[in-house]
Parts: sequence; structure tokens; C-alpha cells
Amino acid sequence: MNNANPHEDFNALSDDEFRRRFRNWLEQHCPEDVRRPAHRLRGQRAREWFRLLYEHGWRAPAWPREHGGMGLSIPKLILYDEELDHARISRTVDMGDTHLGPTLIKLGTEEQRRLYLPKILNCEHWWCQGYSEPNSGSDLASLKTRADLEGEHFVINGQKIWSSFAADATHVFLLVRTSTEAVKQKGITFILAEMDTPGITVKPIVNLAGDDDFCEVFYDNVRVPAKNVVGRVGDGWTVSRSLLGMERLFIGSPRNSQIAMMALEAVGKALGISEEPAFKSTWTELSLELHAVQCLYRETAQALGQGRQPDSVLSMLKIAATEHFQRTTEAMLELSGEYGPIGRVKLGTEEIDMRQLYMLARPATIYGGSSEIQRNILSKRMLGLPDD
Amino acid sequence: MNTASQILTEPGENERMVRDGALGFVQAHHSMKRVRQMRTTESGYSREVWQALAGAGWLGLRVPEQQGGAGMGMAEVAVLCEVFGEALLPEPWIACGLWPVALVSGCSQAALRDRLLPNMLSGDIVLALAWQDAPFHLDPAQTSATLTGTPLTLQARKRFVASGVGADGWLVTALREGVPALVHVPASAAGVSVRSERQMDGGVCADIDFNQVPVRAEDVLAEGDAAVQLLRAAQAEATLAACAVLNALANRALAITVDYLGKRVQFGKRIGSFQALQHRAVDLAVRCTLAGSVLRRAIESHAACSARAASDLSAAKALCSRTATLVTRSAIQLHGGIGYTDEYDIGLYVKSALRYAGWLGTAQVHAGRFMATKPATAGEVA
Repeated sequence: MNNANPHEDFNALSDDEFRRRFRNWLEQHCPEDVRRPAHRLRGQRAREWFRLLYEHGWRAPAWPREHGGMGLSIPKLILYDEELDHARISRTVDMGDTHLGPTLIKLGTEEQRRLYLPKILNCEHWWCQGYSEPNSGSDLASLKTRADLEGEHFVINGQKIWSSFAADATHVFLLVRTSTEAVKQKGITFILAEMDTPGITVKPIVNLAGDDDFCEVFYDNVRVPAKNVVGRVGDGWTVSRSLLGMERLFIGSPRNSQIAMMALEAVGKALGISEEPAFKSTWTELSLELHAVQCLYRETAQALGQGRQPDSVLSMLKIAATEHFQRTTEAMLELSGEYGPIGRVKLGTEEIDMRQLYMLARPATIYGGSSEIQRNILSKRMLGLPDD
Repeated sequence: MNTASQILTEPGENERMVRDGALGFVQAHHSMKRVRQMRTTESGYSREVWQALAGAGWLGLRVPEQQGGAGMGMAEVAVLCEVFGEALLPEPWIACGLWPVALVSGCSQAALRDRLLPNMLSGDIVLALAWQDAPFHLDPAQTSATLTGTPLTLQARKRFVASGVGADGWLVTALREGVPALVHVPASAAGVSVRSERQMDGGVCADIDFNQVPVRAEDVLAEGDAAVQLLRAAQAEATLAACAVLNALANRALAITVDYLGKRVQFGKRIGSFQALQHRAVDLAVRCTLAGSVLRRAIESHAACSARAASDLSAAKALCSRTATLVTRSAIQLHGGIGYTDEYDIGLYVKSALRYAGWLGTAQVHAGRFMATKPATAGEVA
């Protein structure tokens, strides 16, 4: 009875009603193993979870309804997100929902939409992203993986890296170089490929959290139909930037900080140090800062909802949110004394994995534009400081 | 330089009007030279300019229209405070304007209100608030001052009375048989002694002893719960206004600094092209942006009388205080030697930030109150 009706306009519901409906549904349907906020759900399990959301009408909250999404307004999207947090749902990287779908809706051909969108929704397809390369990280536009047109196909050669969950994916959307003549941004093309195309090799990389989330992906004479290009050939840079508003809002979301704060609170209880002056003063500072990030997050979301382009503020939000996330995990290890190097403490039957959070927080200031790149951009765009 | 508030919000009609009017006022009546001149005067400000403030209607900005004011909200008050803050206007618009005016305008003693309010709005009577017994106090209902007997006699020792020197009277908190009350004491009353303390920026606060001071029954503004509510609401608004000043000081100091970084040449380059300085400046801009957002949130929840109003307010005062002091002192460093001279304006912002950061509860005091009052919902953004 708490299922979402695909024809329903959720934005017409009051906030409380919407919240209640989604909360009830989550309480009734969310499997226990999905309720571990500090963990990343992946692979088959992730697809099953999203399939369940899909079957009950709670999938693709940001997509317009005519494309099978829930068509939520930004305030409702934030409520949706909050309810996921409230239910302690593991966060999952779902590039089809957050990245490719919106891109196709905006810039794809009718055929591409018809072909891919329904299969993103029902989780038959599971997408990963192929942007970064070993020598093109922060300077992404310098990427060298090339695609040469041979008849009806592009032939892709090169290497991508940090492709999160590529080992789980059925498809990849990637940026390739189709021209070396113009300014570096101009010769880039956005193209779609199936992961089982001959010539694609995936090699997982073990990260500091001990997971093999992200991968190297090698492309050796990979033949991809030319109709898989999204947007025009040579326009890939623009295509890849086209959805950065909402995506960047969520990169600046305080949710990771909130999870880390809950863990820090639990560590305080587990070790009986919650009332220690050192713990209290750190806890107070972090609580205040979290409040500030939350205020800015809400305001930025509202501004996006009003159709504003708060690009600079999104960069600031990302800096503030990710750095708070890091500081919280740092405080957790420092305040837990000899348990710090062990990396976990027990509170009752629950184990708090401090190591996992500390390590998860490291790349937050690297991906999606490192904190330093954000500062470079802000110094010019917002403050108008010179290049000389 | 853009600020986040320009990117995120569209000022309302009234806010634009207040901004334009206030900018015009500052241009007509104020200058940086005045800031330095006022630092050595007895009261720290000019009664002449105070009269001009009254004449322009700024003292009644928040007063309901039926009482002769403009009936504006705290968002408009914040805009006015931003303009006055940026300009370092020495006149105590909050301490002797907004705050006491709110108390008199909001009290239910019609006769007293009708006697005082028009004279306050016309600038003829300047009142200051004597509420605080000791440092670190935050609750205006807490005092050891007493009102006893018939006729009433006030016994009080009030500290840190902002702009308490040169006032025509004070609004004083005291307990009458254990119940909080707020009374008006004219400066001419017998038994009052005032000691002036000069603050770093040239502002003045006062320690005032009220020794067996007779108080007329008709000078009691409010008593009991009504007094407590009136005092808390007015103090909340004064605190929000102080936050707006702090943010203005931070934003202006940052703008002056960014401007300087774009002009100063060393090693054959404008120093604003050096990445180390760019990143420091951006960090300050991030702090300013967060402080702005936190204040707008606090104003919103104050207006909505939300359950979060108290914690949002304390978060705002804590963060705005920290931000303004951080940004202004960092501005000295980013300027280099010139920033350490009294002749250059940045130092004026440093000192003004310290004054407002230490008034109406420091960052540390408000951080404590934030933790004590915030709803426990770590898991939700709302």
C-alpha cells in the first residue's frame, strides 16, 4: 500500500505525506543487509535492491516522469535522500540513474533513450563511467584514449582508471579523443560501450579501505557502433558537464559527514569518553560545522530548484562537506586512543568500522574535482583573482 | 568579487529599498575619517548623526507601522546592519536603536510606551540596555539585581552595558520578589554611577551601579513571563543583527583583501596570482559563505518561531563571530606589513569584528548553547 504509483505526481503531496509514505515503504521492504550506512552496496546485491525500488515505483527519483522516473522536485529529492539516511540505507554508486540517464534525457537521441533508459530503470543494464586516465586526473581534458572512425564503428584504444565498480558493470559511458587538432576540450567525444565487447579488459585496484571498487579498464581495438555517440562527435566535454548541477549538489551533500558523526557519537559511547573535555569540544566544533554545511546545502538546493546556477557555491559546498567528513573521521581515530590503529570498536553487538570511514573519507577531496582544483576555480571565478 | 548570497538569493523589494537608502545615508553622513575621529570621543559616537538616523527613519525600521515605524522584518534589519557594518558606522544602531526600541515598542504598558517611543524614534532620547551582571551571561532573565519596596527601589550592578555612556537612560533588568522585571531609569536618577570602558575599536561600554535608585511605578515596562519573553525576543533580534554586522565586516574585509591581492605587485607579478594566496583567500570566502547561510537560516527560523530558533541563533552567533575574527585577522597577513598599520583601513575591521564577536555571547558561549538546545537528529538534514 506504500507503493508509489508510476502515474502519481509526488510533488503534489505535502512534504510530511511524502516522507511518511517513503519511510513506511522502506520500513516494510528494505532488506536488513542494505541497512549499513557506512558500507557501499555493490554488484548483484545493489542491482537487486534497485530492482526492488523500481518494482515499487521508487526508482530514479530525479528523472522526469515521462521517462519513467519519479519526477521529484528538488525539495522532494532532498526528502527522499533524507529518508534513505533515516533508514540507514547503504549508499550505492548507480551511474545509470545519476549520470547516464539524465544525460541521455537531455542530449541523447530518441533511439538511445528508448534503448537504454528502461534498462537502467529495471537494472538489466548497470553502468560505469570511463573518464580518468593514468595521466589525466585533475587535468581530465588532456585524456588520450582515442577513438578512430572506421566505417560505421569507432575503434577505441587506450586505458581508463578509477572506473568505479567497472567489474560489476554491463556497460560503460566514456570520454574518448576523436581529434587532436583543436583545443584539448574540443576533440573529446562521449560514447557508450558494452563491457563484454571484445578488447575490454577490467583490472580491479585494491584501495586503502581494502575494497576493489575501482578499476583500470583497458581498451584494445574495441569496436563500438558510431550511433553510440551521445551528442555530437567532438562535443563530449560539454556532454559530460551537462548534468553537473544536481550531481555536484550531491557531491556536496552532508550525508557522509552525518554518517561519520553518528559513528563518532557511537565511538564516544563505546569507549565511555563522551563526557571527556577533549571529546566534547571536538564534538561541539564538528556539530557546529555540520550545521553550517547543512544550511548551505539546503540553500543551494533551493537555488538550484529556482533555476539558478550556483556553480561557485557548489564548489564551496563540496570543499566544506568533504573536509568536514575527513575531519570527523580523523577526530574519531585520534580520540579513540589505542583503538585508533586497530580501526574498530564494539558498541554492544555493533562494530563500528572506523578504518573504513577514515579511508572512505580520503578520496572525497580528490574525486569530482579535487579540493585544490575547486580552490583554483573559485579564486578566479568567484574572487576574480588574476592569472598573470 | 561575487558573494554567495548574490548567487543564492534574490533580495526582496524592501531589502533593495533598505540597501539603497542605507547606502545613501552612509554617503551623506559618514566617512572612514569619522571612524577614527569617534574612537576618542566620550560616547564613541555622534548624537548629531544619531539625530540623522532618526530623521531618516532608521530607528523605527522594525517598529510596527501603527506605532510610527516601518514595520520591516529581520531580513531587512540584516540588510541595514550589513550596510552600516561595512561602513563601520560607529553609531550604536543595535545597542541603542533596534534593541531598546523593540523592548519599548513591544511592552504592554501603553502609557510608558507612548511617553518613550516617539522620543526614541525622534532621536531625542537614547536608551541603552543594562541587563548583564557578569561576563559569559546569556539569559536576560537571570540577574541578581533587585527591585524592592514601595515606592520601588533598584539595587543593581550592571556590567558591559553597550554604548551605556552618553545615554539619556537605561532599560534595566531586575528581580521583584524573584520575578524578572524590566524598568526604565533616566540618567538623571539619583544613585547612578557610570564607569566607562573603552573597547578596542573605540566603542564604549559601561559598568553601571544603581545604588538605591528610586523607580517610579510607571517606569516598569514589563514583569514576569511577559518580561522574560519580551527580553528574550528582543535579545534574539539584537543578536541576529550583530551577526549581520559580523558577516558584513568579514565580507568587506575579504573584498578589500582580494582587491589588494589583485593590485599589489611583487616578483614582477600581482600577488593574487600566487596559488598559496589564492587558496587562502578562497578558504576565507568559504567561511563567509557558510556564515551567510547560517545567518539566513537563523533569521528564517526566528521569523517562523521554529523549535530550532534558539539553536539556529546560537549557531549563527558562534559561526559569524568566528568567521569575522578569522577573516579580518587573516586579512592582515594577506596584506603584509601595510595591514599592520593604523593608517590602513583593514585594522578597523579587525577591531570592530572583535567587538561584535565578544558582544551578546562569544562563539564559545553560543557553541555551548547550540549543543544544549539543538534537536538531536544527527541523521536528518531537515
